Amino acid sequence: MITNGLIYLIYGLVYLITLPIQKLADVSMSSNFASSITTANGYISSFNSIIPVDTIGQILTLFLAIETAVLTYKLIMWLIRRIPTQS
Amino acid sequence: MKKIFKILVFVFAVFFISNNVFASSETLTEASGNSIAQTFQLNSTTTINSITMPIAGSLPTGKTPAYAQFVFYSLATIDSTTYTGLAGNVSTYFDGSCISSPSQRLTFSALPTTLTNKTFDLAVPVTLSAGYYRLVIFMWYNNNSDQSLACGNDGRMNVTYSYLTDYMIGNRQYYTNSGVINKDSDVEIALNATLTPTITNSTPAQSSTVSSNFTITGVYTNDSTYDSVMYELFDDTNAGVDALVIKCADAKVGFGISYSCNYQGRINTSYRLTPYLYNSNYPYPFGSLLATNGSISFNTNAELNIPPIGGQTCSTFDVGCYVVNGIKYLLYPSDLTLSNFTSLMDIIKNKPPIGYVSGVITGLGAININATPTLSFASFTPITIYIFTPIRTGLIVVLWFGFMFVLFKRFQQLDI
Repeated sequence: MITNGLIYLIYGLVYLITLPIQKLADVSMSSNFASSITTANGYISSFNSIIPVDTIGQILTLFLAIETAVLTYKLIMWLIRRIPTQS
Repeated sequence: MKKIFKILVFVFAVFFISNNVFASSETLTEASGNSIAQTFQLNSTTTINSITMPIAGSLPTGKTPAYAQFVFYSLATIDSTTYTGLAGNVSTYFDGSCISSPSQRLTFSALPTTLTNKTFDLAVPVTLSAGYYRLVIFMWYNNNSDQSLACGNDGRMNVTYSYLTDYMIGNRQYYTNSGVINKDSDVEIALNATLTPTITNSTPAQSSTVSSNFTITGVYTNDSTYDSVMYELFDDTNAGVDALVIKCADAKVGFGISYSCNYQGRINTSYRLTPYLYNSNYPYPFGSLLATNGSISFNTNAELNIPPIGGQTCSTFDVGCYVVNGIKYLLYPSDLTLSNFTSLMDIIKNKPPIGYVSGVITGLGAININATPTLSFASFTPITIYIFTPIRTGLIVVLWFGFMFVLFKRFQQLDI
């Protein structure tokens, strides 16, 4: 109940902040974007026999995950330091 | 600058992860029942000069003028992979090109409300060899009512196409001057049905069994033996937000049969049932769904009724159990409260500016290294075996070692 209440408060705040965004129309990507991906797929697939594209993808994902974890940690610590008496 | 870069990376990573981890719903952008399109087979080479079809509908407010486009796609199966290609284009505007003569357009100042067996003479006759094809009729209109349709990129920016049945309704009876497309069928009814559940208990449980039972009738063509039926149930409670709650396993087509599917989830007020056909051998089904009759029943069973506080049933004198339940009740967040964030994320991820990021992420997710190669470097097998594969293996080792080195240096300089 306590946690639920806190979560509802946070949700209400987030909902209120994002309300203007929610009222906007959905975005639609140009069909050219999808066709460019399709075209890129053909070239990526071609070079995959020499360059390990899947490995590059895995490494990039790992790198992003680690950087995200570090930034999240810093963000949380920054928030904690906003609390009076915490430094 | 570094901070801005890190923030950008962070935002990108958050959406990347949220898109993959928290994506709990699926939105259909194209239900199969929403397009006037017909798959057909030609037994021999045929030239098509005209298409005859009944047509009816109306344009959305402020959208004018409109014109129709007929496109034939070829379907071919090579090495178990189905490729779709443009076989013939019979209209004014496709693939960036533009036919300047307005007389070649099938132009409507307003769509006719009823047009029985209207024959459209094709601007350029199309000759198709024997094989499988799909005829798609697009409807074009101008977003800006006082601006005529233009050729070229600038004009294309102002043009939106929509699947036909959003604004036009046809009954899937097409035939050409040569009679090769002849789909005799009954009048098609809407396949999307909004269904309101009858909640059997006065206090809906947070978790209940949702049962759906419905009957589908359909039509076979000679080639529909490969077709299967799939049906999806969407939670339509929040207008405009489709949340897929059931995607039942496909069953071989057996029209007129009652299907049922069970799902354990919360009860909401409105659900939408969308059945469709699909074909595992070709990108489009050959048959047509004609009618659906459905009802959805929502039942609760005893163990899924409102759970005791804390979620655990305690024996009468089990004080410890009561204490644990009390702590759980106070501190455990419920699924309902957490799902609010998921629902909110589903809405926001389609709105600008975040929607563009989501769109890009979705697009990048479609990158597929197994696509048909545009260039072929490995046409000679020994080159692949003795040159490309060792180079590739070496690069993998180098990349991973390089990453480990970068990671090591990163953690050495980590300032947290």
